[in-house]
Amino acid sequence: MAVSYQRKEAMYRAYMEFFELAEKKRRWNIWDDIPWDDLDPRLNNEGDAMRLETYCGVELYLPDYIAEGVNISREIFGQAWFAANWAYEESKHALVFREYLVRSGLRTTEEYMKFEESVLEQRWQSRTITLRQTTIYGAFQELLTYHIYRKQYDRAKLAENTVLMRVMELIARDEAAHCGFYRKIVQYELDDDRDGATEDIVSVLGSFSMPGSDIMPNYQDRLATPDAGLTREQFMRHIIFPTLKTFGVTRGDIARIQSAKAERA
Amino acid sequence: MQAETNLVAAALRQAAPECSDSIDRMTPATEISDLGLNSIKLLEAAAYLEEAAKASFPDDRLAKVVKVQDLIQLVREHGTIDPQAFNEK
Ligand SMILES: [Fe+2]
Ligand SMILES: [Fe+2]
Repeated sequence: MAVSYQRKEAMYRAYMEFFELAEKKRRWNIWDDIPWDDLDPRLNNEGDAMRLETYCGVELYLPDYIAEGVNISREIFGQAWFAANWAYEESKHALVFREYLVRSGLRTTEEYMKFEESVLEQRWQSRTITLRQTTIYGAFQELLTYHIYRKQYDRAKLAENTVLMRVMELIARDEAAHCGFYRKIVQYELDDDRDGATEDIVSVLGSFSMPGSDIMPNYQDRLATPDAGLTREQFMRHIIFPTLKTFGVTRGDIARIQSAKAERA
Repeated sequence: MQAETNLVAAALRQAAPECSDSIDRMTPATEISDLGLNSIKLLEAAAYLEEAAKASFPDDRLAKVVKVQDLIQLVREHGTIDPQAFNEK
């Protein structure tokens, strides 16, 4: 479906707002912004290794995410350029996890390389079909990663691990910004076609999972590591409810849309 | 108790007709996820339940729902039972 000039212009402005903040306030690099000299290997354990390796693994499918994300949005400048910038920011996430794993001694370079190889044996494929669904997925998924990293920040703070605290703080901030952009675009979609977008929200949530969860080796075992992910209750409380509230979508709306869909079928 | 249980079963069935078999066999101790319902289906079922029981469930209570009995309890605490509500549909 052709995208209107008006919508393209709105997306362009949304991107410019996002990008300005990113360039002026949110840029960081792994050399100057992380206090590597304070790294204390005694503050880490195998649980930390498993969690970090798992997050690193999810971020390692970046080439696949980029391929799908850029292609599906190429006709809309604001969204395609967002995808490019998003990819740059995400690229630092896997990188900093890898650096942390190896510098802390939690994994040797060889162990890391073996892990990376095993992750990349499979290729990630999107479960969403349209750009609207992809955007909706992004709004939920980025908020989820924000909360996961925020949880790791709290853990690191408790352990007085200042290096990991800083890593998690920087990454969580990126994820929150990504979530904010996607939310804005979903709002445009809802303004254009409320029922259609709501139907997509329901279908995206119905099949929701973390990217890579079905292809990364031992993902479910890894997720069993304490605090690695969110519980079902936390997912409802921190991801589903606040996102639906932002979109102004109620349970009643969901029921109405689904009933209408069932009647059509 | 039976009226609430019937209402819960009807709401779950309406949200997830594909899970009707497991819903027919469920007991209050059955976990919602074991019935085959994910979080969004649970929300949809909660909406039908709220409509039928003329209730509004608090989000934080809904987030804590694990078993069928948790939903029954929500209806008991917040609802006004009209046993005909689902029969009319
Ligand atoms: Fe990330
Ligand atoms: Fe992100």
